[in-house]
Order: sequence, then structure tokens, then C-alpha cells
Amino acid sequence: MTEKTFEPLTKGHFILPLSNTGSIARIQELGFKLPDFIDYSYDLESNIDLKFDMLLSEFKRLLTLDLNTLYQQNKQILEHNKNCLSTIPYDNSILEIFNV
Amino acid sequence: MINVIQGIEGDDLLWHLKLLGANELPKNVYFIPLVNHYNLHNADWFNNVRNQAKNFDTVVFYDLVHIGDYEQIIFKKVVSEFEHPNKIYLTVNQNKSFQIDSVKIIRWDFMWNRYKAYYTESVPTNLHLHHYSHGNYHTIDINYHLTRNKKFMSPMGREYGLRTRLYDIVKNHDGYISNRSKGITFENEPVMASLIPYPTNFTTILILVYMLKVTAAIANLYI
Repeated sequence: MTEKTFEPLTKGHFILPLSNTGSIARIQELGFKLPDFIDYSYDLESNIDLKFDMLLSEFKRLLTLDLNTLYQQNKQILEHNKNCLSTIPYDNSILEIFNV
Repeated sequence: MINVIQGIEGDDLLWHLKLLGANELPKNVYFIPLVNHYNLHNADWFNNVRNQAKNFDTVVFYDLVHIGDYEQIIFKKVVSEFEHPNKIYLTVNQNKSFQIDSVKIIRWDFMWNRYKAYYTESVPTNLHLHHYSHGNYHTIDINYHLTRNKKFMSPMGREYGLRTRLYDIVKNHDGYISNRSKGITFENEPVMASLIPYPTNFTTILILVYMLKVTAAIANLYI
């Protein structure tokens, strides 16, 4: 993941990222919240072509929904994510190399 | 002083380590960048790296920016085949099923740290941070009442200021070639980072079209 993922999250957008498998779980592990109305199951698919097809299907499905209403219903999530810049700490996993 | 990390993806790594309270790295660790940002990864480079690594107890291979699945396969092969008794792969790939036999995987969200730091830390004037334009970027005035402004861009101006010009350069090439690998950097160039939002309603578009027509008509009078 890069700033391409974090930028929209902290600016109050919903996201549909195509990234390494497990990225969605990691985003939630960091502390961001994601809405239930988006099906992120494509993120668990390791075959990149299949993953892209699944994402595309989800994208098309989302276009059929009333996004304005869903946006209003999920505003709390967006507000939570806006605050994550200050609430989520730095990842210090690299410090493990000091213990090897 | 930390001085063994090389490569564009590690340009600001020292500063980020200090944010985590680490002022120096273990002495017997050798760092090998996997992403070829500087276009230096040829046979001579690899032979040199292989010889240098023999003098260290531990070798840390690292990718600190997101890489695609194809590159990850290549990197995995390189790390797997590299002869050294103690190998670590420091990666931004958070896929927990990504494993390599006899290699310790450390997953580090360096890009989160970098992103957070851009917004919450003071940028030191004596350092050349990744994408930092030496203060030449314009102050960003974000108006959150305008929908399009929420799309925003990085405070370094890279999405708009840098990349617009970057695309102008690379369009003459068949494929993407990074500016840094060609020795072109924009660090000392003024960078635009403000954004005029696109019209979000039909009335605004009509007004803009009308203004354009008036401007064109006036221009015609003087031609």
C-alpha cells in the first residue's frame, strides 16, 4: 500500500483498492474502518486476473446502488478515518531488525 | 550515523528511523534494495552486492514501496537464491501468506509512516526527503466545501506539479522510465500544489463555457 490508499481514506472517501492480497485486512488492522456495503472479498484472491475481474464486478454493482444514501448512512466511518492520521501510530516493525 | 541504506526508496529512511527512536542500525547488517529506482541493478552491481554481503552477519533485502505481483515473484526468486546464512526480507507487502523458505519476513508499512509524517511532522530543512521540493511548492489552500478539493494531493505536490511534467517527458518513450533513473529530478523546481476544482454543477460549466467564448471573441478582435 502507498499514499494512493491512505490519501482517500484520510480525506473521507470510500476506497476500492487493487493491491497485494490481504491489504484490506491490513487497512482494518491499522485502525481504519470500511463500510459493509462494499464487498472486499476480491482482496483475498491471489490470482491477479481473477482479482481484477472480481473488483470490476463489485465496482459495477456499486454503480447500481444509491451511493448518496450510502454515503450519508456511513458518514461516521468516513469521519473516523479522517482522524486516523493522528490516532494511528507509526508502524515500528522495522525495529525487529535490531533483535536479529 | 546510518549510512548503509541506498536507493531512492530509502532516501528518507534514516529520518523515518529516527522518528521511531532508532539513531543507528545494527553494525553487522547489510541492506540490499530490491527496487531498481536508480537503474543500477546490473551484473556488476549484483556481484558487488554479493561480495559485500559476505562481510556481514545478516542481509536485509527491502522493498519499501508497493510492488506488483510480477515484481514480487522476481524478488522472491532473487532473495531465495541469494547465498547467505541469515536473510531478512523487509517488505511493505502485508500478505501474510507471502513466505520464503529460510528467510525471515518483516512486514513494515513504511508508506504509512511516510504519509503520516508528511502531515504531522516538520520537514527538516537540511534533508532531501523523498518527493520533497525544498520548500518550493506552493502553500495548499484546501477548501473542503468544494467536493473536488477533497480529492486533494500530497503536500509535496507530486500528483499535480511533478507528475504532470513527468508525463510530458515520458510520453516520448515506449514505456515508463522514472525521471530519477534518467538523472532528472525536480527537487529545485517550483512545484504547483494548489488545485482549481472542476465544475461540479451544470450552471458553473455553462458560465465557464460562456467566459471562454467571450475571451475567444475578444482575442479575435486583436488578431
